[in-house]
Amino acid sequence: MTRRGTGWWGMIGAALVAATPAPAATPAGTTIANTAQLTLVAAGAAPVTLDSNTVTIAVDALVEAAIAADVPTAPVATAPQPLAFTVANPGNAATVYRLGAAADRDGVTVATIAADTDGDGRYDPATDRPVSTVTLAPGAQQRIFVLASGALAPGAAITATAVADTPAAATVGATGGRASATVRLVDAATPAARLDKAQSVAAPGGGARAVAGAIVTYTLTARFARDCAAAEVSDAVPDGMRFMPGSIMLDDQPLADAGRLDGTTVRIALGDMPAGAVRQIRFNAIIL
Amino acid sequence: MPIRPLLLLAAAALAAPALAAGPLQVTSQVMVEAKQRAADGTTRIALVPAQRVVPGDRVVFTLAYRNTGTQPLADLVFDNPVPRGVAYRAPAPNSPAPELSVDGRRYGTLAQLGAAGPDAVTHVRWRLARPLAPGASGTFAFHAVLK
Repeated sequence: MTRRGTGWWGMIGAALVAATPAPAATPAGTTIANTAQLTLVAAGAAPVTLDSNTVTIAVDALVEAAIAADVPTAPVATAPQPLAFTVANPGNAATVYRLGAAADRDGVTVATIAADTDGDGRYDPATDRPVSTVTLAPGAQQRIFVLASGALAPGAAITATAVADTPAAATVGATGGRASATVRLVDAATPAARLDKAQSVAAPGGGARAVAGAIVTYTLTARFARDCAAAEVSDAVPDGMRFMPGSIMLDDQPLADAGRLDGTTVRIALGDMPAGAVRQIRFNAIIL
Repeated sequence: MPIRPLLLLAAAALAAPALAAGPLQVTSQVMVEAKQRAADGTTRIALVPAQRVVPGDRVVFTLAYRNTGTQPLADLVFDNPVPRGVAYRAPAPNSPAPELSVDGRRYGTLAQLGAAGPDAVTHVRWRLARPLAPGASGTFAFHAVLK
């Protein structure tokens, strides 16, 4: 009976973690003025409205830096391999950022950094020219590509750094005007996640024959090769079988059925999974 | 006496322009929180006059008032539009809590206004429940943060 064979009923849904830019701060050079209005009644007179004195404060330059890797891991590709980062200016003044990059192992070189001039997210040597600095307006961001060459291998980590030029009059904020982010290279053949499914059959009165009344235990093993956000495993109970209530286990811990049964489909939200995580889901179904 | 109403009329006419500079003295001030390291190694937060600030700085807006006239002043209302670039946070310690508004028309608490948080506040207002006696004074203050 093919319906009981091991098959790929399971699915993993996963999204890659993305960076969000910070809201722009009040621009340097802004003058903030405060005036209160007063209303009062003096004896025998009509209500009067008047203004308080106006106090002003000037907003100075605040220098901050931010950088994020567009993806935390990248499959090894042909050298020179472009790795995308986005430099952002969370401060309130136009700021020049000096760019740098480093690899965590000998043999990998990161001599060149290019700006994504046309903003299409793809490195194009014809238009995306090498840069050593980027100048960003407050709240602005710019994607850059670190070109990794040499012996690119899984496990290598490439870090890009943005260091803000700090004018003498500026205040340096909590970031210290310096930020860095890292991309790790992974095996090109490794998908973000894989799901393996196995089953065992316990027939009534013993044995492993798939007969009516036999209980089938399905074991789903999800392995995450990269960081995955909002991972979910779902598996439809085949026709001719019925899910056994209260049988869901996640990593050998029982899970309630509520919210995890969608018709005849078992659906387990795993949440954000770091690279290297392994989760095992088990549930039972009975052959009708 | 026929002359008396005439005098009263003159006094009333003078009262309005005189008020702007006269019986109610109001001083608005902005202070910024500055961390100061004491000799014993501890860090204290001091309020210093704010002339130059950067986003994220915590500031305190203060309204100090005094009745410098000889008559009580009634129905005193202090309305402070929150300046652009500033986010209201909370009443200052030792100051009565202001009524808040997110549109300059309706006033209440954040909950009454259905506001998600203090960032939405556009105006703060204080009302004196009793007339301000001659010579009496007080202060209102609120904390804010530079956006």
